[in-house]
Amino acid sequence: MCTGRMDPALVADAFVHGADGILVIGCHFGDCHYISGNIIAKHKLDMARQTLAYAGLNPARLRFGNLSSAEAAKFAEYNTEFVEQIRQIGPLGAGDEIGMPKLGEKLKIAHQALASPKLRWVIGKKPVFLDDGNKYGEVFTEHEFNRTLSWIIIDEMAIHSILAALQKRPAAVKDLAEELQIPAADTLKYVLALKRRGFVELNSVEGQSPVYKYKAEEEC
Amino acid sequence: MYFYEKKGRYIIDFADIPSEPAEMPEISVQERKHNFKEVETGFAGEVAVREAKRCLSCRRCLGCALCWAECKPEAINFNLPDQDFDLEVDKVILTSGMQRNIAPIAGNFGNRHMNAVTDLQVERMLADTGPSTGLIIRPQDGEIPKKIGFAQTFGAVDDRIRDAVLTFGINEAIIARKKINGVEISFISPDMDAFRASAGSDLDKVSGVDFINGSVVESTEVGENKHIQVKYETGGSEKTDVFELLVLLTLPQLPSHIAEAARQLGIEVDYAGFLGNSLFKFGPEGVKSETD
Amino acid sequence: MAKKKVLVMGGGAAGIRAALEEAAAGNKVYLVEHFPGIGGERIPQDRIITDRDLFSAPDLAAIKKNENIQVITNADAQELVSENGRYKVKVHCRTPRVDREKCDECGQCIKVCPIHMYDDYNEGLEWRTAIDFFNSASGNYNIFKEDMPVCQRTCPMNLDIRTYVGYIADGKFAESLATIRKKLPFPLSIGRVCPHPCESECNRGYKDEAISICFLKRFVADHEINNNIEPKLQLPAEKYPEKIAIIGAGPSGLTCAYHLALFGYEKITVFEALPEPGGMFRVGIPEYRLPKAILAKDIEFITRHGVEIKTGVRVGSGISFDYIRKDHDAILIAIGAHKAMTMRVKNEDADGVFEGVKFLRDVALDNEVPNKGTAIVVGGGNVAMDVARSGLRIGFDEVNLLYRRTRKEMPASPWEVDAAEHEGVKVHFLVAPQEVVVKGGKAVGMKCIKMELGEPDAGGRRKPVPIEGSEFVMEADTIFAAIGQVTDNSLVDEKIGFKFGRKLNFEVNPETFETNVPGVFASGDAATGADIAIRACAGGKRSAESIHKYLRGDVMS
Repeated sequence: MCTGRMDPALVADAFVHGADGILVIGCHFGDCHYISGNIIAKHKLDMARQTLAYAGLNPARLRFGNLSSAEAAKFAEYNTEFVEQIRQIGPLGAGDEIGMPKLGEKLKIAHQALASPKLRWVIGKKPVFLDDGNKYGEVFTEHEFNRTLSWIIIDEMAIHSILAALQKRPAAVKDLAEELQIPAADTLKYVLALKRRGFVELNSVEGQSPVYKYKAEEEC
Repeated sequence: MYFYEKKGRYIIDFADIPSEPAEMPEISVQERKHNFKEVETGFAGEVAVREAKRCLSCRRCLGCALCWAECKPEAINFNLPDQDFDLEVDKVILTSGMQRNIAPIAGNFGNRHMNAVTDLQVERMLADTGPSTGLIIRPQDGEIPKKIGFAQTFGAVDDRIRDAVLTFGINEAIIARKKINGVEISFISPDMDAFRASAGSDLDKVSGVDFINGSVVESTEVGENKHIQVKYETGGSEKTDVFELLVLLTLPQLPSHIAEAARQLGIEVDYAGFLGNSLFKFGPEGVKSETD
Repeated sequence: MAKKKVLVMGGGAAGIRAALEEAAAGNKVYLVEHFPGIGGERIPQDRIITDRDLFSAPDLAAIKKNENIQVITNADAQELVSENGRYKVKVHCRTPRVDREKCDECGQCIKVCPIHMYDDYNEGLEWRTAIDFFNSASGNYNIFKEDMPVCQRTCPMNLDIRTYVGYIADGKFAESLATIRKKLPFPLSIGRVCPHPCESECNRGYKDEAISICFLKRFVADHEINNNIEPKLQLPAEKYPEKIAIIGAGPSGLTCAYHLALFGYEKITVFEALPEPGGMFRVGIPEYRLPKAILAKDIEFITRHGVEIKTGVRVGSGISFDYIRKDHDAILIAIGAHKAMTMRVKNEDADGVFEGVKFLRDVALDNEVPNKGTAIVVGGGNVAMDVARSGLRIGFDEVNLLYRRTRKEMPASPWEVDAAEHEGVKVHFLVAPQEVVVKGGKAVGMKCIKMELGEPDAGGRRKPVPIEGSEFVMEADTIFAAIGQVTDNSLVDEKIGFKFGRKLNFEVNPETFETNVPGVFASGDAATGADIAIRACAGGKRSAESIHKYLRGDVMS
């Protein structure tokens, strides 16, 4: 299978299920049978790493390398070195920005973000945007693309955390903000945006606090 | 809220963006004496790259076409062109349009405070179909304020505009009173006495709003909840009050495309000309202004 | 009775009511609204409300149902003309990029759109997505796509800042410079002297400080010359034979020449009266801000595109305008504004009083200039700062600058004022000159009066008013007037019939830069009055496009 088919959500899923490190090895750049499969793989894994790092994972736990099938010795070397590095970092929650079980929760959110269509679609557009341009013919610089992508990652992480919290129980904005460590003003904007899109609705007003709840998707 | 920074949404903290702006290096004043050597010496490569990385790459629609891919009726068409067409009509009716343009809010009477909003924003909040489902909320934490201040921070306008602005604000205060149990509302305007004289008994029927003939001197954010402390002058003395939400009354303006259309038809109009549901009708019998 | 046609402008409550009334009277109604949607409930502003009527909600359903009403949103009526009792109007409708006939308002698009942005209808209280409905009542799905980012929109030349800054961030300096040069041939010079209006609009400024767009442009341009990189020229294969004359080798004239060369014109001659090309870049901006050797690199880049510059040829004296006109297919007048405005004070023509711009020109061309003792500079613009800072460098012991308003009103860039003070220029605010004091036929000082700020004028600027009895004399050996420049338009004969503006500038069509004389275009300070360099370059580019259109007819547009 080509590394280009590697789903970023799979990577997140492996961490959710307790993997301490993931090494992805693809063909050398320029040697791809499908022309750009390994470049796409790199884009996808860079995005997964950025998202997971945003969730609190040590980014060194996810590595991408290039080898050909004729480089067995190098392959062994790569593996040994990576395993040694992960051993030094330690198990999940040690050597990461946050510890378990909080990290586990956040990784689940990252998995949802990576599994939802937005990030997957946008990262797939990277080669097109950089070479030919978007639907308006605007060619992106790498910097522009990365800025946009980081922004979507931040939004997606916030949105999925809020939805996950509201699925557990209805909550007021200020309580959500405290629980999720997102500034209350931003939380409010996210909640209102989710309401506009039909994912969230007003549940009740308790004292001074409007309380919002998760709105299950209607069956079509 | 930071008013009318329509770009507001672009300003976001990216952890990997260096925030320190780069300084242009210069030769010293001593070195500049009696010669014409270039003063600014230019960025070094790594400084330039770091500075460039501070760019937020502002962009709205990405042009990614995800919506297009998801749209079942295939209604989205990025190449749908602008349309130009000619009309020939017997009559033209000018109205002031659907959005109320406002003049920039001068000075700082809270424009940069988190829990200050405009009267237009309150109108949108009060709409049941609006973003807050008809609730008045604080932009900082989404809570319903128990103490609201309305303030007029501009002066010296056309009487008709003054009356329209104050009526609009007072109506909002009336709805706020109905919506929020036990809310305290103060309404500060330097033109309150003049308005009372023209509005007469209608204003006396409004209960539960403290109308103050006074001018706001300054406002500051206080405490963790970012309440707004307003210092105002009334009857020759200075008073201070703290509000959970401050509503700034705004000065309406005629949208430029309407003013331009009027000019092309040969009349000069301003926003006041459209008050009281007025229209300007241009027909075979000439221009006439109409009020319902 | 025949059905009448009615245009209603504005889709608010009043417009909707008017449309319904007109339709009820049997007329055909066009309802044109600037925003992408109509209607929306509003709080009344004409009466104090009672319990029952909190909002006035226009009848959107009735509008939708009524076959005699055509709603045209996202549109403006342009060019309204009254003719024989009827009205002709051009309607421009900006595309919503959503086919409203097909859209079933299911909302799937807004669930997947990855972009959050300011929502106009709700005054920014919430975010909309890039594709979204305008308001929940009227639907009207649309994609919001800005024409350009705010920096680019603010730049007179609409340089693609987002892209060239992005390339610098990526370390792709050559691509960055090529992006700039698609429009601007003067990156080295503009990167040094531009007052960068783009930076004042930069969104980053709301968070901490704007990006140093101007210096970044200078950086990529410097990088090329510092590393001896050969710039790539992009000359088209198709060539055109027409002869084009450009009068004035300044920012505007040379930018025009550059773009004409990019279009494929091979016979472009630029006539320059001074011994050196560059215009105000060369003789207006002092060496310490823009070294001549640096400017020469920008000009070299332009001439390599096949542009010929004839220096020392003053049109109107060495060679006549009529001759040039006969000998060329199109002409651009880009002679700038090099004549100083007078201070309108007594004894202004005394010995020892000089024009600030002439002083800068003489310094730049190594001509003899006054340089001893004390100098007074009158004015508050960037030219005044250049004169004052150059004055200290050339040898004056003391330079006093007089400005009749305060620092806040000063038109000069604040960093220029700071630098001038830093270097020792004494800036006197709220001081106005009244009369040059003369002794033995020579200026020895300036009688001044102190000012205070009065009421704001129509433009919002507070007008300075003299304080009675506050007159004083400031001594000086030399006085420079630097209160503005006008165009010296004596090169053209009155008989040709050019129209001139207030600053003696050539009046042009602001879109095409064509003068009232066919085939003659004017741009830069000569058309706009004294302005910043990038605006002159922008005019040069636009006039090149117009000349191309003029020479090629409608075939190439």
